Amino acid sequence: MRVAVIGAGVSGLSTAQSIFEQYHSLIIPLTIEVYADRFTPLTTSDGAAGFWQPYLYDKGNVQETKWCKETFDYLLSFLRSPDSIKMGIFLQSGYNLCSESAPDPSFKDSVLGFRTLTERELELFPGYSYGWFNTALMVEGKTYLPWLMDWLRERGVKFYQRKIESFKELVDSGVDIIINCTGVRSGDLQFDPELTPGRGQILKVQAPWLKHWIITHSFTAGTYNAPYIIPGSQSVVVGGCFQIGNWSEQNNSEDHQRIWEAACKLEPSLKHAQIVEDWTGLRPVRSKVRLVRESMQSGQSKFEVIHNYGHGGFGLTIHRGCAQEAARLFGEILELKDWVPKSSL
Amino acid sequence: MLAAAVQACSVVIHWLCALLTRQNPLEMKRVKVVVVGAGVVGSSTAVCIAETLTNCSVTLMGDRFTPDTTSDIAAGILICAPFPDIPLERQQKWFKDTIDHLLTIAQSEEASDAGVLLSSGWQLHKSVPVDKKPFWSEFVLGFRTMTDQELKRFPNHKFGQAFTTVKCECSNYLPWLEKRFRKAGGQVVKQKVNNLQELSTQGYDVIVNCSGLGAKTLVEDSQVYPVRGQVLKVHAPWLQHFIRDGEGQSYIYPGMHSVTIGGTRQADDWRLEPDPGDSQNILERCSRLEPSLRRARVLGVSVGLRPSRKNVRLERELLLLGGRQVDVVHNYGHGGWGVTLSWGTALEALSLVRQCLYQRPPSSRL
Repeated sequence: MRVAVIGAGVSGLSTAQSIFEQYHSLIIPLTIEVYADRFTPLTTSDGAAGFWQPYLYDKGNVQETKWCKETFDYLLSFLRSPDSIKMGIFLQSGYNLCSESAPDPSFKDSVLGFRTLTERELELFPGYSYGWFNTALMVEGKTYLPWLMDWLRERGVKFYQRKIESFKELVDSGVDIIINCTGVRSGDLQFDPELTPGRGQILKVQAPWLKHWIITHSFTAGTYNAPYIIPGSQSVVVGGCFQIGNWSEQNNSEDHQRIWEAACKLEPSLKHAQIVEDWTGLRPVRSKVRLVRESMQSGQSKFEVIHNYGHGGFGLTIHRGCAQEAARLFGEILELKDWVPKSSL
Repeated sequence: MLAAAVQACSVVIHWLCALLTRQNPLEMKRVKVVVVGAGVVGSSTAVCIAETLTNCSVTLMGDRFTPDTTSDIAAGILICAPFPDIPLERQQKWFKDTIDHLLTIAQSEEASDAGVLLSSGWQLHKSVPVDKKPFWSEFVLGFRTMTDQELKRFPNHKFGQAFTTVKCECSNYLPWLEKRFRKAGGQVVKQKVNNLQELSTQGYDVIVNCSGLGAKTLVEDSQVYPVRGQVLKVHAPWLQHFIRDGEGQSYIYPGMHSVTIGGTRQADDWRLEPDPGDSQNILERCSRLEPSLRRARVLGVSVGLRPSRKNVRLERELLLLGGRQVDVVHNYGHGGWGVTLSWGTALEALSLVRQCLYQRPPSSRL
């Protein structure tokens, strides 16, 4: 059986991994191919800070909260293993700040040591009167994606650098099941009115004295449109930009100025930080993640597609939960088509 | 109104004294203060005095300056154990004063210059301690017991405390303090002091003794003894939290440019050379706490001798040295808690110096 994954960001690679893990001994041969025009370090997943945290509230998308928690637990399980560094996983604590009191966030039971901020802690952040402290995980794309690719390569998965123009193209070449992890550019393959870019610009700075992430929340400006500072293993990511509908991947100097000023106000010690570079990425924003299977037809051929895209600003946060769900959908397809005895799934 | 009246009286008294002693009032000597020892305690004390007592001329004197002091070796994490015979309230004030002072710096533009950063982490215990809350627990940020889920990462420990404290790196902090000291008019002199008489001969009116381990010979204090500490600096930029084993035997303190891991506590051990056996042992113990350390590259090894004493000595004495009455304020014996108590003990030493000045004859009070 030939499976083609389109997209080599964290969703594409982790879905390929989950499918391999669960089916390589059931389907022989199982050929998995990954097609993408961009590979690490040029994907959206690479530019992101790599901080595990869903949006404050899931707006009823409890399934997404479940997948995020599954991802957290999965990553946490690697911490005591020698591989954690190679995977780019480590713990980091920090502050979520609000200008007024707010209900507890969706992820309070997923993270470690979740609690409200004390008065003294709030004194560190003038202008903010409420917030939470917890320990969460970092999973840095620039390390995690190469680790995933090595993992897949070792198991015979092949990679092809080219832009897929249509599902038909792959079906015509003999692919049986397509996994669509095309992120913000899913619209190129299949029109989706709910998918839109959420442009983000970040500054990478050298500020090695910072050991906590600081995320501010403005209920008027919206998620990630308020300043945030996320230290990583090599540099600190400074951001606060979420522009719906903006397709520009160019760095914008006005955004740079605005982000930098807000961040320095939040964290005065940044004044002496050296700015290394800017980066712009397009979050694949959707009202909710599209994680479904679809039976399609092209001419006489019927084929199956599993969609796994639209993870907005929480792709790394939710990737494993979604990959496992995609693998479950894969199993459903196998059952439906009698490609594998029902009892073995 | 009252302040102005006091000021006016002071001026009148000053001139009357000048008249009586036949000195030119404008040339009457300022009080000469010398702070002996340029580690974190001496430097902090010198800054406090120079910035506050503007009628004094302050000299910071030592045979060793940063980066060659004991303080430079210290990781600089604010945590400590209590001294047995000093009232807890007093020790609490020392801790609180220090952490409040450093927290202000951490949240300012000076943070990176001064080498001050916030640090969160965990203190682990193999069994539930009798005293679940150390005496400083209300002065650090967010102090709480660790949850069961958090403890899962440490299978050899049954209890833990999580909190946010400050790390103060002396290789940055001491030069930063020195700048502040000079700005306040302080003089820095590199000189080894063999005994207090020397200083009296040089004309100092007040000696502030922050000589750390040196007090053993400088003032013949047999209670002072070294507790040798060896530490390794490793490259592990993915570590963002401190981890400390209850008694402080093993610890991991991520800093600005490296992670300090340790340690040893060898009483009466004067060896300054690194011991390879200790390095091996430290790496082993710390890797058990944090397995990712096995992949960390070792950048260097250092040794510091903690200037230990059963209780820190922070008090005044009036000595007759070389025929002169000299006020001495002692501020030494902080053991492994020098950075932690530096500003608080400096402030108390300052108030002791002030007391000395008020009790001096009027001619030198101004």
